Amino acid sequence: MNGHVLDCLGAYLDGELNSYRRKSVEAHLKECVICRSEFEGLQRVSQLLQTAPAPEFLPVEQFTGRLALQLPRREFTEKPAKRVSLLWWLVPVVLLIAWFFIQTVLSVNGVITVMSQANLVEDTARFFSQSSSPSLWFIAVIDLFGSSLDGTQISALMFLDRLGALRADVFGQFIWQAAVALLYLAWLAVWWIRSGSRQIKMNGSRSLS
Amino acid sequence: MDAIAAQKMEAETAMTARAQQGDREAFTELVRSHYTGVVNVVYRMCGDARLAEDAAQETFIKAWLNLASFRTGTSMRSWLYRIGVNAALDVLRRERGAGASLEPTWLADPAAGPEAALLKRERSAAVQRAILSLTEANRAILVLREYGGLSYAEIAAALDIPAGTVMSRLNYARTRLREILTPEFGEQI
Repeated sequence: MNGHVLDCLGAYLDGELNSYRRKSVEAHLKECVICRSEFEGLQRVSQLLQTAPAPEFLPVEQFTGRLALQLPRREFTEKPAKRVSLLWWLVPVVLLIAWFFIQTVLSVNGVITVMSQANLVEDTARFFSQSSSPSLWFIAVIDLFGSSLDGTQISALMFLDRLGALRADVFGQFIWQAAVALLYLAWLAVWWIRSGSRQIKMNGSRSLS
Repeated sequence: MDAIAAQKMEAETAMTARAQQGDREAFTELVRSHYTGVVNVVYRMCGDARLAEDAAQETFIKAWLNLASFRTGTSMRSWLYRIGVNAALDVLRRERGAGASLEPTWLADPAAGPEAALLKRERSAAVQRAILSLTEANRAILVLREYGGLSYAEIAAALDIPAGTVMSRLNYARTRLREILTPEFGEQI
């Protein structure tokens, strides 16, 4: 008969198959002499193992008495560990809050600057906006390429400068965001290494794979 | 899970929490409830009653020292068996290193007649020898299943291996035992 189920017999014996697979193995065993004989052999081995008696060990009370004398003192670091754990989880939250704060400040600053340029805000608000003098980037571009730029291009650059699209400190923004992102990635890396080493440490030094 | 099992698990969780706080009495209660299972598993791993008691002791000492790393909600039994398997292998290696004989030991049963006792002893020793002839990895899986009563998922979690590997190694181990034990037990296998 084709389609033997020899590989599944152990799992069937141990009750580890799902109901569909179990029923198909049962149906197969009714018809297949080879698989049935193999299954009966497995059953007998399992039974033999289960019924092989073990020697008598120390009675539990005697064992626990002996163990009590051997149990070393244990250092309890429960509370500090919890504090460390809390601080540990606070790191990404603080980083995200910092990133959100910086983004908000920069965005609000940009909006106020544009409104100030368009004379839409009062003097107080203008105080918070950036100065109306040309930006450094604008001066640098004009100094370097001024002779090769035509009137339209210079007007476009002036428009961008006045609009404030590039007035904000783009480099500063980039540095801030890169720093926050780097710190976040570093935290992720340390978390990954720590969780890996914790898994290895747990339950002894070796696994039987 | 029935009500009694749920109640038992709840009690064990509470006991574990107390032991994690350093309560030795609570830990002793945990030892009492798992001693028989642990000592049986380690005995089947190392095949010697005296070594098994040493390995069981090491198991509980390691468990006590690492109790903080035990995750609540997971199986204490699987956790202890995993430590036990490693402790048994450590004890066995130490003993082998010291050049000791590792024939399975057996204590005579005074209630049985001399012939029956001898037969029982020989058969049990044969089974234990066959188990010891398996590789450490296959033996651990077989012992955790047959004597620890763990499911494939629990064995996989305890030994950090895929469930499929548990199934294939268990199949291999049983087939191998059958081959070894057939000459000894004849038609019984």
